[in-house]
Amino acid sequence: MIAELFKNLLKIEGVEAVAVFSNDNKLLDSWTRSHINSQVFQDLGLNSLQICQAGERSNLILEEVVLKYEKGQLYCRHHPDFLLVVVAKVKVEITLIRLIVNVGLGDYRESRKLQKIVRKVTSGNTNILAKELIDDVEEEYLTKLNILEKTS
Amino acid sequence: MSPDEISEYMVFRLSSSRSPKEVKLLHLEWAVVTQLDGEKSVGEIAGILSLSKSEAKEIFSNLTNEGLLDLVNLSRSEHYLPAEIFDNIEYELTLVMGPVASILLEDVLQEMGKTRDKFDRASLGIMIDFLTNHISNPDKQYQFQKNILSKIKDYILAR
Repeated sequence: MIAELFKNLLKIEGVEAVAVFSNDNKLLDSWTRSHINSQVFQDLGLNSLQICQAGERSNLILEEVVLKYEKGQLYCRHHPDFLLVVVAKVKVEITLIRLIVNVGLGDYRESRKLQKIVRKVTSGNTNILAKELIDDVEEEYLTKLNILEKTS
Repeated sequence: MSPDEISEYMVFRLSSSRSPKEVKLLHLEWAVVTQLDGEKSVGEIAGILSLSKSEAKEIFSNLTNEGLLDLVNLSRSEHYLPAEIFDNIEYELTLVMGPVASILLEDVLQEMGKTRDKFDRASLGIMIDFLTNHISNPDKQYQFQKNILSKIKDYILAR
């Protein structure tokens, strides 16, 4: 999927990893310049999906999330069928990533074959904020924001 | 070096002739010193430390004047794009927006404070973003971005 839709991302100097997750947090495809532990990928996907879902429940449409950290930045793009996560160095222009992702998403919209494949592997269970997927601190925080309902 | 002479694309490393310990440095100056690795540009370090461009330029200017820094090089982003790339952009924009394309392109360049003959690679994505936002039809946005990407990728992507 990355090779078909987002191969130009891999040619940007400073892009370290690209991953595509289904909306129920299955890793659909990944690419990395250096070795990244598969658990790290899984956590990246889960946390990014949780941010998007928490946003949705607060009536915010978070189509795009950019997080900066000391050694780089994380670009997440949420699509109804999947989530794309790009790990890049700080020097990479987000607008360049966005341009390539926009074109890739347009290609996806025109590819029935790819849509079929992605929808086939997605179970439909997309409650990424379920209690078993968050810890107590996260639960308390989301409850304070009225994103989760209080439990007794 | 004055702050105005410092470009966000410059890359510095610690000078071997003088140690930061010999000079009294402010907290933020130490923070910059710890980030110097001979690879990160002034702009990247400013981003990491959440400094404004002017703050970063001021600090790099002070450190340079204290003799603590050596200029490694200007990063690749400093290189300007060939002016003919704007003919391609204008052509693609005309296909989706009609004759107002050239005016729009000049407006965006002016807004960004840039000209066709002095336009750095790093700003190309931002300009395409601005231009795309002026196209209201999503299908035309996609068509424009797809065509543009195929024409500019040799300039912005590694081969």
